[in-house]
Amino acid sequence: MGLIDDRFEKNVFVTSLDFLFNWGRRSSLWWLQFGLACCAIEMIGASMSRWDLAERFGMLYRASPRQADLMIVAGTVTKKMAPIVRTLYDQMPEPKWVVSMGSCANVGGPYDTYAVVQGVDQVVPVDIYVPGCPPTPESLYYGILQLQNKVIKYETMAKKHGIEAAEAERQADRLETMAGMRA
Amino acid sequence: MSDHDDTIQTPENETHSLVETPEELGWERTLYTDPDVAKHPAVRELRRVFPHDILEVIRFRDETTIHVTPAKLREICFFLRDHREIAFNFLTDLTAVDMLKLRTAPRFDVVVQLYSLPNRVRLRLKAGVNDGQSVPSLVPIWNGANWLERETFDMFGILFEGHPNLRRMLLPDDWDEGHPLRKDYPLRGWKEFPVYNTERTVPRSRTRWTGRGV
Repeated sequence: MGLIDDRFEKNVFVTSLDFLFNWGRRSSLWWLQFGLACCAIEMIGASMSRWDLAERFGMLYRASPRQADLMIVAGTVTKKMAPIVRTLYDQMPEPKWVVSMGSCANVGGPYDTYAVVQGVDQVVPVDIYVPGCPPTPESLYYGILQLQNKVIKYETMAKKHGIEAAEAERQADRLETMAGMRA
Repeated sequence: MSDHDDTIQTPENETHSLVETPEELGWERTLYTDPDVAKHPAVRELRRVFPHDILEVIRFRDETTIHVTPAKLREICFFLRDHREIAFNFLTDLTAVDMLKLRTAPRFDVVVQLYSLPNRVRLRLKAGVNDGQSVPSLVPIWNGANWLERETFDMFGILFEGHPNLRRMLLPDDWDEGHPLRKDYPLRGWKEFPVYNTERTVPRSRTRWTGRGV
């Protein structure tokens, strides 16, 4: 456990026990099923038998936000839906992550109109942006794997320095991701 | 249907006037797509029963469009639906077109697309209304017109008289920014989106990614 100090960028497998704990924590993310539009079909396809997001990664979709720790926003967020997205996000317990899937959730997609919110990061803070219209299940996979790295970082930090430091690190990381979307 | 007159025999291929008797002229399906639009059974019947409300009849390829006065729209639709031979009993669509750039008055055209299930033919009715003028609702005839008229009201602002529940459907209930599908409504709307995400510290410098020309 002493070799963990500057190893946050890579997957941290220091001792076999740490490896086991980290594997357990990152492999049981439960996501809130929040498909809004066509990206939901790709999300469903990613969790079906070919690209088995549900069984292979231990991820599971839950209908209630109280039982989820990941929200995959898949689809166009309209101005009518935005307060609802925010309410659901607020109802999720900490720690929570948000994956913005597809170009409509990233930046409003091809719909630069009166009724579409130009990106779900105007409503909730986002950790991972997955581009595509719709993203192939493999792209979503890549996004989820990157998210798992973030989960490992969080958990390792929490174990070593406590929850507050881990939370601070997570918020900072998230702000940095969203700032990178400043473009 | 009761003014059967034996002294006037009109053959099939002549142009008809208003007083011919319907029973002799047939109701075959081919008459609906006949090049002479006066032989179209619905046009014939409407000209017989509502002579002052049929403003224009347009035939484009196989599609027939009848312009009617909006005040009589409900009576005309009842007549078309309840007629034994014509029987346009299926409302396919009810929407509107903003003719702002195409003509000055009236501004909107309420478009009613009808389909006859027994005869398998389609018909289009158009009624011209101005801004603020109301059209009789077709909900007493077809219940499916309920949401179609709500959507038309939401997007264009056309009022339907006699509708049980005329309020916004697609947009939020308290949308105060007008009716979006009018031609003078900007693509991106009038107002900015309020800030929900207070955790974002660096604002996005580009919040519009497409539609540069609008």
